[in-house]
Amino acid sequence: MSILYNTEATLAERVDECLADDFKHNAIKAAQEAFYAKRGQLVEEMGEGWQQLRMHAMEVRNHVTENLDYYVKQFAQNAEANGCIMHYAPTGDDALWEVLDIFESHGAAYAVKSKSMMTEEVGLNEILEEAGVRVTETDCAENILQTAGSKPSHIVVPALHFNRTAIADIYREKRGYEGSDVPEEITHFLRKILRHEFLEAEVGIRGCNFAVAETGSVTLVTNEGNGRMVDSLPKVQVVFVGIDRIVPDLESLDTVMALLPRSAVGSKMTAYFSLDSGPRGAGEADGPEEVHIVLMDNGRHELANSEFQDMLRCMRCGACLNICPVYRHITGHGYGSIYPGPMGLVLTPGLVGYDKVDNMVYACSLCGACTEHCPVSIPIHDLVRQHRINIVEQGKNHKVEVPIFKALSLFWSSVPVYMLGMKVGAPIMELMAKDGALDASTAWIPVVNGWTSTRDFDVLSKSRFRTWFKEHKQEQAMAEGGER
Amino acid sequence: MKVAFFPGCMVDMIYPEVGIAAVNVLERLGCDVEMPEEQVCCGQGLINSGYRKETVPAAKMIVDAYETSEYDTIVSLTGSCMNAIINDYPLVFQDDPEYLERTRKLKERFFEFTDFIVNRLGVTDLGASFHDSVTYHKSCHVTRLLGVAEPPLELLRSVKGLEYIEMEHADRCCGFGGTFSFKQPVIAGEIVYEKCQTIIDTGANVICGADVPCLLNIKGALGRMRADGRLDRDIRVMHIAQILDSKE
Amino acid sequence: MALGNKTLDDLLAPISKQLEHDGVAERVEKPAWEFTPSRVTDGKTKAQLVSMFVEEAEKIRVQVKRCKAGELAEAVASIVAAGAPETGDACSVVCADDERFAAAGLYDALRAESLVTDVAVWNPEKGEASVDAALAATYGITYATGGIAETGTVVQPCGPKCGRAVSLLPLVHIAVVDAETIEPTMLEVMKGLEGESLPSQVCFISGPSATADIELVRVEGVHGPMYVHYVVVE
Repeated sequence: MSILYNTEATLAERVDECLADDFKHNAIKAAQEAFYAKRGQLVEEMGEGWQQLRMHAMEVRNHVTENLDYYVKQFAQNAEANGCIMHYAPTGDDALWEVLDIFESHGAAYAVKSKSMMTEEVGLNEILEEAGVRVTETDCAENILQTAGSKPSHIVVPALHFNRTAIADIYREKRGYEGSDVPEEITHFLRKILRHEFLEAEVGIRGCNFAVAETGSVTLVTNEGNGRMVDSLPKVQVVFVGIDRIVPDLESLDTVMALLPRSAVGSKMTAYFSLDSGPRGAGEADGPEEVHIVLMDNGRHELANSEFQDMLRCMRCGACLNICPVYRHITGHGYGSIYPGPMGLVLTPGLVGYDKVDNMVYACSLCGACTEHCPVSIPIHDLVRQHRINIVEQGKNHKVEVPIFKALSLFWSSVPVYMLGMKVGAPIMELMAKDGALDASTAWIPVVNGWTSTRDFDVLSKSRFRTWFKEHKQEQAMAEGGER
Repeated sequence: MKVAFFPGCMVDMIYPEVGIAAVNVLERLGCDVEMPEEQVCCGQGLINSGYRKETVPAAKMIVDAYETSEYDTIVSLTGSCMNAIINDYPLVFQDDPEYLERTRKLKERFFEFTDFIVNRLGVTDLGASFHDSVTYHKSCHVTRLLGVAEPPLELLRSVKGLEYIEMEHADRCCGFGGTFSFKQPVIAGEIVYEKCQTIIDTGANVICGADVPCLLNIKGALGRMRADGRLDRDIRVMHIAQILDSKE
Repeated sequence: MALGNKTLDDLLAPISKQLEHDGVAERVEKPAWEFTPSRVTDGKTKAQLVSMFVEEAEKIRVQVKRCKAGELAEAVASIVAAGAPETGDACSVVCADDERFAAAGLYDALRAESLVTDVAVWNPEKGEASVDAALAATYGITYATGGIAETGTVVQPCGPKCGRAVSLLPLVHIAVVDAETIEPTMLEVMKGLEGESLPSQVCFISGPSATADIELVRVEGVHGPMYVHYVVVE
């Protein structure tokens, strides 16, 4: 996989597909409500402290972005001093080559993986499988997706689009599951089969939520414990770290961790949070003997010192998805990007460029709920609009719409043109209308049907407010004159 | 008090009765209401679609009309347009220091209609009466981006005879979003149908709001739902100014 | 340009260029931060923090026992005495190698329990065999170096005397924590780690392993322990 998928379908086709799936649609709605309610309660408990944490996280993350080269270097040097083997990947392809080298030098053919967006971004699984390496995803949801050959519909709970029966059937067919459809039984089956895989795997592959520059540490946040298994059992560990994951020191790690689980899943803390500083030390009987850190840029540096710089603060918590009115209906699959929802609308074109993305940046009503809920105060909806501005200014917009917007520009900036438009338009609309509105029968008319395919449209009034106001003021003046 | 009135183009184009009600309310509160003639639209639909340069003429016209108006208070009937003027014009004029500065000055003089009544005039009871059940849609730009959350509710609570029923997720977007609702009619439709269902579920006979574009959208969806049988009764869609101007 | 085998400089150069930096700075001072967030633990006494720790732990489905210093062995043994959870079968135990456990007589107390078939003390010299003992054990017992009141978390560094497997592989994890070491938030724990030479892993554990990946139904006991007990020693 890479960042984009299902690119052969248009946005409209992807949306139709999602809306046709009632189970998926309702599952995402339910997830939104659940996460939103839990998060809201925790935020309320923290009182003013929550806003202060947001502001503090913002200043810390901004400081890192402004000195990104320094902090990347500091992290790299300290991680190396901890005994990690560093691999530097300016691009995703560089990262893939580095990982293939690691597997080749160990003759390794079996890896377990805990959920990592960075590896999704570069399509690591496919490349390893082509090289004859068996890779098992160990996060329950990721394992479901891998076993079913499906894509994530949510960034935190990616397999929500399957119901329990479908999941049980997948394991019945592929892994010989014989139990019921009860989630607990399916989950405990996964515990059993995956435990063997953790023990047998030669390499563990994982991501990193935050990297600490001052100590050269990497961290991992999980609830299931699969991250800890990957982190404890295989002899060789490969850690993917994005250059935008860095915090300066351990104190700032607390700040971001006070925000992340609350924003992501509405918990004060996840079951596990591990701070890893190098391979197993002298005298230790478990933990990786070798830790390889793949420090990857893959287009991130271009966001620095640009209008999208704020996006480098993103913690990938998914809070913006959990509040977004559009994501709610079109789900992760509607976007066709592994980074969906509001954050995905900013990040995806930022990483892959406007030539590759379709019209996804228009799948946003600019309501600002994402901005309000973002734990690091990224002005997400403003950045979505900035993409739209850039698309127009770089001439990458749809050419058919240009005359429409040019006409609107003229229409809305000249009173005579506007009044003429009203004079011509109002009677025409009146002719097409029923009870003062354009109803479903007008849904065949181009442009207009952008609205009337789903809603009625109240027609232009026969009289203008400005006309009434002028007369009203004249009447007032006359009345005053009369009094005098 | 002298105020300059900014109705927003949808009031002029589609809902003059909303503007008339608002002027009635302001005049009853003792305001001397003026309105510059040389203005049409804030241009929000253009900038939000990415057409920044094309927004400039409309935006300049608004700044010219209101910045030079002799009143130090401007009352906006449409929160969304006001948000565009005070928060988005800096982006529109980013290469034009003169208009950038003039917009900045304009910002301090702008008030949203309900915010003006409650916080500037200090009035919540306008002596209105409206004997019906009402629910209120908390429009994104009024509530979230301008931060005007309480004033409309305070005003509604003071209306005699009005039974207020809060809808679920009242601050969730209605799916209008300017050109979004034309460019993505399917998504916008899903969003507004769900909004309408929460309105229907309150059992209220009236849905009101403080932002005209949302009301256009909600009214259009309720109309469609009424026509295809998803809604089996009439629900009136009103701007809060119309309720505050009522003696029903 | 060849792929792979890139240097740190290859990674840094485009970043510096984008930032319009003339190379990477020798030293960057952190600014004096403008914001010091208030926390729910502000102004709480030690006793209140301990109570908060217990409450928060119980909220995340940890079973908590509070005991006096001399009662550690008894408190832990009474948990193990029930045998394997739910079935009550005989079972084995793996413990961290900790002087405080030895001094409290924990190992002997555990061995005295009728349903306990084996008590393994983590011994890195046994290598893989130690991991196997943890894999076979129903109970894993560790001495946490601290607790966090705000979140009901225990702080568990790993090292030669306490492998990662002890708190991870058994079905049940029992973490002993001194009330004295319970801090208000993670911030104080992090400050305590600063300037220290960090162990290869410090794990912050907050309750049983859990998932909600299937229809958002919460299930406990995924890859890590299904049951977690804290024994708070006062």
